[in-house]
Amino acid sequence: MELDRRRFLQHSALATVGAGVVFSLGLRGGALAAAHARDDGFVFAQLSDTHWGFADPKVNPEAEHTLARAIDAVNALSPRPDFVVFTGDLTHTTDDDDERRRRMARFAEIARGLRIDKVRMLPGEHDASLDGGAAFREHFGDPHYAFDHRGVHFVALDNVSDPTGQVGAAQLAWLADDLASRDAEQPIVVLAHRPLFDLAPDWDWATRDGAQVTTQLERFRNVTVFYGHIHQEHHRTIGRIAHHAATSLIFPLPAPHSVPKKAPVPWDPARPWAGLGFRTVAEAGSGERVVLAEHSLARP
Amino acid sequence: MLTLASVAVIAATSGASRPLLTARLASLRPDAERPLPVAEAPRVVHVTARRFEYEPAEIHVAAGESVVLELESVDRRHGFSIPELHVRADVDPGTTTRLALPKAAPGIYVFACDVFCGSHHEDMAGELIVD
Ligand SMILES: [Cu+2]
Repeated sequence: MELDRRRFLQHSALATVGAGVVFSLGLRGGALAAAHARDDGFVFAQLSDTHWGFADPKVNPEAEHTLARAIDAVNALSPRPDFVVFTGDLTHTTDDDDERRRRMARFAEIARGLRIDKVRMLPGEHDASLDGGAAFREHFGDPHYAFDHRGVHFVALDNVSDPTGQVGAAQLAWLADDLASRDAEQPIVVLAHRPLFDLAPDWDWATRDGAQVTTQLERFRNVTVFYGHIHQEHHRTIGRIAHHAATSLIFPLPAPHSVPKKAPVPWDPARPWAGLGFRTVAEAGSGERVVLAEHSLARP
Repeated sequence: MLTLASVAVIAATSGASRPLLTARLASLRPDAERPLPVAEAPRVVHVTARRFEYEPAEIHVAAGESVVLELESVDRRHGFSIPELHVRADVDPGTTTRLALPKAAPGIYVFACDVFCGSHHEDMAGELIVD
């Protein structure tokens, strides 16, 4: 399937909820990427920060229905995404390990409503920082892994099972090994929960050893990082690496340092689901172009 | 506290070169009223960490003042991080962690917990106010 920009704009416009806002990153890779040319582009969806179990009606009175609403919207997408990634904070944290497992089980049950075969999960600190990732592993397996899809190499990193918000030496060594034999022209997509750069460390929006990850990625020409944690769309390119944060599916947070104290943006009854949504990512043919579309859960 | 004035007095007791020494020190240190750091004893500020707050939540220091924090948790491991000043420490129950504050220009510096500690971890923060 050749996925050109025009068709992709159509796909956004046809989305059943909200209006897709297309954020084009333009050309990437150019002729050199043709070495990895694939004549079929593809779409994947990024959902993030669902915080199953969160309860505060002033912040989200529809907390029990927001995930299902997002899943309905993903199921209605055309063209269909090849796969879906959830970039962490699947559940809201709890001190009770049994309750954590109940939340994860219920989250997984709802997520099975996705009519898409491949669904990849990453943990957030709410899922994994209080128990070292034990409950997450029981439900979803390894919290860091790599896979290939139509010429693009995907790396899912876990920067939350360590409660200090680090990837850690063992995972850094695993990453070095995973990347060692790869051609610098191969497009790399990194998935993580926390930002890999110092977006706002005083708001806990950083990864302590994130620079040791990005240093390993610098030799690649096409690197895109998709993360969550900050509950809003955010785009920053540092060197050759583009970092994109996704909106949440429970409550929005204010822009970095825009208020003295970070706190959830309250629910606006006049604009239900405003600021909540998900993203689709179109990897256009030949890995030359990536196009993001932001899908709001709010009514247009 | 050792100031230039007291250095000059010490020099005066040690011999005949008093005017020369005083003049040289004055020219090297035009801000001669400032205390020389070598002789300062740091002020100790005790900070208690608990889910999900610090006590005190505001720490006031004078610009140039030498301060050491003594950090202790009463429940579980927390962190104490001042990202802008590039200092941090783990804060554990049952042990006192000493953290020397770096000298900083007057201003407000946020400190925050950087070890995830539960449902309101994100709210666990305070301010270092340098006057
Ligand atoms: Cu804490």
